[in-house]
Amino acid sequence: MKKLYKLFWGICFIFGGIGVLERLIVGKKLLNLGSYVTWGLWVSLYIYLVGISSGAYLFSSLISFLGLKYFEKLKRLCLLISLVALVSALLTIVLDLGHWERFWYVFVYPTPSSMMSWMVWLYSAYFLLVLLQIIYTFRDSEKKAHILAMIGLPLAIAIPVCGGSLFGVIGARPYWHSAMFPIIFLFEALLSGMSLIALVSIIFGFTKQDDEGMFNILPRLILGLLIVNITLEAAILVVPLWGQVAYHIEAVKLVLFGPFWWVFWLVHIGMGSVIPLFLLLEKPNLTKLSFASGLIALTFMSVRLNIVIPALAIPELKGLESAFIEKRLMFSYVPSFHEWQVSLFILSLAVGLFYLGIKFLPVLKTKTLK
Amino acid sequence: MTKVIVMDEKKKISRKDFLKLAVPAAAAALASGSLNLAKAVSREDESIQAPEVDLSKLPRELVQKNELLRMQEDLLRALSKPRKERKWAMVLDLRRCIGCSACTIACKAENVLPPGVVYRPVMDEEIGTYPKVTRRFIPRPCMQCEKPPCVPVCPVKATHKREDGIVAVDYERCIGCRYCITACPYNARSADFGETYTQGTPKVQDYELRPAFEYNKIWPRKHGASPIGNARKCHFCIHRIEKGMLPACVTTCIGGATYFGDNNDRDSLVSEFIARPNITTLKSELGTRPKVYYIWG
Repeated sequence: MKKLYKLFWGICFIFGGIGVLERLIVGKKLLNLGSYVTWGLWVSLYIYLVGISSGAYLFSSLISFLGLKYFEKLKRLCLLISLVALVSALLTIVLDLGHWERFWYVFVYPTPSSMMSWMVWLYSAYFLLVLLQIIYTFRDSEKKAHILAMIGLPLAIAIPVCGGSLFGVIGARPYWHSAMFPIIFLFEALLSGMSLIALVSIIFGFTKQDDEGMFNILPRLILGLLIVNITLEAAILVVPLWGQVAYHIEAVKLVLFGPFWWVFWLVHIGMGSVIPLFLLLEKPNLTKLSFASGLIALTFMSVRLNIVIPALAIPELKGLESAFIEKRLMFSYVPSFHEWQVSLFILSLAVGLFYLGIKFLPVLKTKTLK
Repeated sequence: MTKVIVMDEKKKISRKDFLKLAVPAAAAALASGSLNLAKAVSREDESIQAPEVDLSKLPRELVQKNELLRMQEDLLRALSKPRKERKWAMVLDLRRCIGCSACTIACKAENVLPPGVVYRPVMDEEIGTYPKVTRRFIPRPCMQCEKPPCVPVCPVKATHKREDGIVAVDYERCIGCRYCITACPYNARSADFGETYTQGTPKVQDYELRPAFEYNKIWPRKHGASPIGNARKCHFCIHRIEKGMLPACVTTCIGGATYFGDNNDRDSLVSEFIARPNITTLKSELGTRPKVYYIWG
């Protein structure tokens, strides 16, 4: 069975890797993006992975900051997942750049007015911090690791807030231009990150049925975060609808009733919210917890897609959609085969890196609780 | 070197004489631009040549009455000032626009724009219900905003506002993140994905590979080289105006609906239009203060 998994992973990795080579050789011709819908699957995947990374890291910082003894044994797992997700996310966004070879210009020509500059600077600091923390944690230099976790806590909060602000500050897009975005990104990061931690910790035997403390608290935390997220999301969608100003609700209507309505209703609400909610409301057991957290973590990509694409799929000026008709001047977008292929590479890379981490780092080493 | 010579004598000419002179004169003004461009294309290693326009040889009344010639004169007058004292503006008279899209195509040809990149589409708006229906055509170049939302979001300062108010992109610095495209409230920016119209045919045609002269530089279309991978936008044909030529969309507008000039010059044609009460801008409520103005009716 293990061999079969490895074979499957190998196929995905090589097949996806061919897509990355194509991207490097052919350029961006194989993408279905255009001048209007200019961000798509890769940017969505990037914010998905970055959310998981910062959420997992924030969780580990909170464990240190609040002294949550029950979760102490998850800290290493959190750090590993945050590093792996971050590396994968950064690779995704570098591939999305029109001139990826110039990415370092962000440091050479600093622009404090751009939220994207802040994001890159924060991620760079964050990357170094996670790396150092992993080194100290895995070397059992607990004091140094604890200090880094304290420094990292505000950084871990700032990162999803900055990610949300990247969209929130864009006044041209009513769907994004909301003070809610920085806030919801913080809670979304925590929810997606913690759900993935819960799933992985069950798979690797960290969370056990007899581990009462952790087993009782973790589902409740995830449940609480899920409810907070649903509430914030409802506010983002319902408030403009209530206002009934056409310009403000077009993207919201696209999310709820557009051609990809099922991404929101079936994948996100159905599989990613309602089912986990019921599973977590009942008296939890390991199966329910793993299903609920797995569904939340994996379907969270639908949330990211519904943030990035609908805002761009609305013409800023009426009539623009038919003013000059060309493939890349359309207000509709479906990811190309190439985009999926490269995304598959990113995900298999993440799985591969995680596997290497588990294999070569003492992630599974746990201390006996006093 | 461009010459600005304004005639002193004011000759009276008849309407017939005026037309006789106006048509070939306007054609000559256009040709001077296009001939010059052809010269530059064939000599990539040389700087783009400026045409010599001597408006003094034309009757004063003709220059005043022919909008194209007047704009040409306004342009040359503006060029005699330092760059920071110019404020380029465009006025689009929608009553005159017939929706032929000649400006769109001229712009495409002038800037060698690939598939998916358009600087000046013309929107076609249908007003009313049958049988009381009318159509309005709205060209949409870059608004060259006084407060451009695309500038502060650029993480590397590649998008910047020049002294003369034109919002420009430094192709050699742009990393292609496309954040500026999302920030523009007019959808006035495009992404260059490196395609050509004749790709997939036995041969990519040479006309698609000829260089563009945007921002007074020569940009051969080579795989992976800027402007491929960059954000691109209308720049009022800086490379033309700084050599004494009107933007391509202005000289090709068959309805005479596009006006261009220096809004810091109170005697310019555009300043006259902008001072009128029937002038407006797109999405003025956003406070971006566009320098592209519209006359709706």
